[in-house]
Amino acid sequence: MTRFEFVNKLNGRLYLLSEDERRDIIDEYMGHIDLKMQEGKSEAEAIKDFGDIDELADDILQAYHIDSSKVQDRTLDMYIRQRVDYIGRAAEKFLSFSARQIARLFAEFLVLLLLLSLMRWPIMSCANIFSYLFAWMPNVIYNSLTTIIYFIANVINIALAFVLIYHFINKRIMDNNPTPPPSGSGKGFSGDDSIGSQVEKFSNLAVDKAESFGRSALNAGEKTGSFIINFAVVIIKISLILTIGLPGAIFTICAIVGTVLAWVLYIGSGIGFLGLCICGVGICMMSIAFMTWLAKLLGGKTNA
Amino acid sequence: MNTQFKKGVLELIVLLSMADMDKYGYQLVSEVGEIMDVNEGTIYPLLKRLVNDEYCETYLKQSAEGPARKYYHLTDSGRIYLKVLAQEWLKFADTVNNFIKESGFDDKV
Repeated sequence: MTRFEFVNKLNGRLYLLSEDERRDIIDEYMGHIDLKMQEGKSEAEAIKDFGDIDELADDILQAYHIDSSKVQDRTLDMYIRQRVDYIGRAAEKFLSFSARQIARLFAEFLVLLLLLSLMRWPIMSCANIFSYLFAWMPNVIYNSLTTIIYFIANVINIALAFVLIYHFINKRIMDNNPTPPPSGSGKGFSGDDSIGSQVEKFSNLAVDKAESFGRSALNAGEKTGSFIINFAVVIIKISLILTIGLPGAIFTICAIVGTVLAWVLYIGSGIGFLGLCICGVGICMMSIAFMTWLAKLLGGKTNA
Repeated sequence: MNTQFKKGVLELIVLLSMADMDKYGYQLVSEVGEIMDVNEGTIYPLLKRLVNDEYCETYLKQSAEGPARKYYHLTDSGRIYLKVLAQEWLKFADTVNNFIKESGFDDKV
């Protein structure tokens, strides 16, 4: 395991702690690894001596009197917090890159996009072949089947794109060591400075300015970081309630009303409505179970 | 050595090794490592907990080679805590030793 993998993993496990605390802990571990390496051990060996990362993270959390076994119950809240934190760290890492690294990253990202568009083709042709297989069916069935097939193909495409981009960020941004900035070349231009190198110097300066501006903006953002995360959590929760919660609630109410109606009809007009009644009870139970699950997911509390 | 034993006395040993002089993390880890074989990763969380419980405090000090080091200093309450822990340990070890002798098991070991 490299140093950056170690930091990423540890950071992920310690997301409950504040940014400062985490940085403090990780600095200490980095110092330890440095000293170990001075003694002649390799980076991987030094990290291996720390043992299992999960146990390590549990020990650290215990130092803050956080029982990690209680935290294991991952609610949506924590998942979002972790993701937002991950994006934040990626952005911070990105800002620490030099202009050349950013240019390379951009080129690599273009290649990734090309790869994604190429990968779309086999999946889409598979979907085409499948839809041809059902061409003999009546129009209504054929149309609905092809809709489902194309929908699945698109979902696969999007999922693949997400996975690839996630790996891209992990490999190219999180694992990348920012190159140290070139050492200053003294004040003033010496006589042999061509226009080209002057332009280069100027652009370097501009990039430095932009980087420091970005960093200060990030620092300013850090103070309001928890606010932004909370805001994101609220937004995602509200959209989930509107798109899944509300229709689900209406569906549940309808199912209950329908079941009661079926029961009344069964009492009133005999055995014919018993099947409908049983179906209604089944649907009611399923939808209630789903709604309680959703409520649990949305209402999860964090002890951060 | 039994890991449960180690866990119990690790705190005592860490406190003891910083009692006579302030030390930085790596120094403490290697010193404790000489006394008993522990996972190096677990000592830092323990130090963190000691700091959080105000048994010790930290300060940064420049080192000749490399970046500044974080030194750990035992506070007064830490000293009292260490005294209590050490007394408890001695008493406990005595009781256990006596019990082993009483049960006649020490001849067989």
